[in-house]
Amino acid sequence: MTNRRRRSILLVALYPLVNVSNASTSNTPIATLPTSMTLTGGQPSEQDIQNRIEFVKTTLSDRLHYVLQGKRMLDFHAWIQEQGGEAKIFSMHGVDVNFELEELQNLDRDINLFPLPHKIKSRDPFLPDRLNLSFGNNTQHSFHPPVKSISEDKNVPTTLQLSLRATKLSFHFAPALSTAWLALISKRFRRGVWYKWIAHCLAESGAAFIKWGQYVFFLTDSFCLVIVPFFFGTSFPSSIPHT
Amino acid sequence: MFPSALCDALSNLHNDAPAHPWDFTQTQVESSLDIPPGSLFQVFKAFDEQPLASGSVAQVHRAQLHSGEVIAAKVRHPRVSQLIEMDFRLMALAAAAVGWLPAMRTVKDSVYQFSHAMAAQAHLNVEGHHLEVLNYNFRNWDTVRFPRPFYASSSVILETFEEGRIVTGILDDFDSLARSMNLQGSDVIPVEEAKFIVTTGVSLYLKMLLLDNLMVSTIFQILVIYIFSYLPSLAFPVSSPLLESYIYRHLFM
Repeated sequence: MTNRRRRSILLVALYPLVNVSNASTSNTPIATLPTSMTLTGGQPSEQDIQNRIEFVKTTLSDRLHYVLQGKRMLDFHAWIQEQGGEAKIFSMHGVDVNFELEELQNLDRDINLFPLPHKIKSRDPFLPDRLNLSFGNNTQHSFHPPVKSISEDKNVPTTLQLSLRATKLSFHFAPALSTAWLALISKRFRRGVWYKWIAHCLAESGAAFIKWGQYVFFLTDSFCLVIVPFFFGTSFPSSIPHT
Repeated sequence: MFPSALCDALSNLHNDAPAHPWDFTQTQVESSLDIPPGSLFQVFKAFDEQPLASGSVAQVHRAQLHSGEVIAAKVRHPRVSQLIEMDFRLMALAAAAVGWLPAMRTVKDSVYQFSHAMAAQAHLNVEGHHLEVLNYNFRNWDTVRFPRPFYASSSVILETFEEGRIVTGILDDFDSLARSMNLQGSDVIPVEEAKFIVTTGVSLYLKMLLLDNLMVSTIFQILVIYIFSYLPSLAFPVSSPLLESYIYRHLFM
């Protein structure tokens, strides 16, 4: 087992503990709330509301200047150095994507019925000590009622929801699936019609399918297929696999 | 990996998704910033109700702060996160079911890789972080830049406004120009511009994919959105749509 693998597995194993232990630790703030905004309970008064609006307005402006002046980049650089000198990409599941595929699959089998990485913290999957781009509200008031579309981020889909979604998708893909046998035996139908139907079904089925379709397309050597023939007026003389 | 004819068909998947209504955008921004309903225009001097562009995950509005700076506000579509979560679970099940077929052996791996690395797009705070990483990783590249976020929540990103054009739009314009002259696209695009787009684009793509570990499906959109403004002005007469400044402001949409 390589050091990288050991480090990755250790990170996953310890992440929930680290996350819980740091749950009360605030992320690095960019702007701090004025002490005058620290309110006691009850409905916010008109003055509280105006204070909040003024705070948000000022904070956004300050943050933009902080970014435009390059200070954010310097702070980000310092943070990256603290993290080991490498800027990491995170997935929605709260783990570093620098995993071997096999590790992910093994991990999934252990913790989840479905072969997908388990969500550790859906709303904010970053590690607790990352630089923060959001800013909270440390008053005791909430100035906006809860919004369903945001709170639903936390929900794991139920079996019923998955079933209903699967039913709907099956209607979307019905034309392509019901003619798969014809596509199998007829190259002309497959290339001329069926593949276009597949693309249309993906387009109609939502963001995940559109993204996957684009991903599949760009996995093929898109620059060879599209850019080069366009600019140089010719296709490659050899086949793509050969190329 | 997949038949080239299928990939050709998939190349037509575009991002011109229907835009969600203005009310939804307003509610999302106000809720994310935790300001009272109806107070959006007290925080922003202006906020365009019509989006500049709409993709499959989110749409982008132009806005202006009271301090005068024009910014971009990216707002996630309704239920996108929930739908993506469900769809990836179903896709994984389907991929596992068909994975035993020889022709579909790679589908399961593809779905795994894709869902893990790209589903982050449903959470705009993740994307905000990735934008910062990209800006950091490309800080020494003079000809490439990305929008710089200064606020991000799971459903809203506020970021600097960068002007540019989608690369496929540029190619289409040259193609149209060439057709009107009975030529090919390669005959009308200046060699320096073509060389710049191809070399910068390939380098950018490979760095993101191989070094930065960031898979981007809509690479064509990214390529020249941010590098086009560095191109020298085109030194030959073209129709006005070619030079018309279509401001396109989004990343990974």
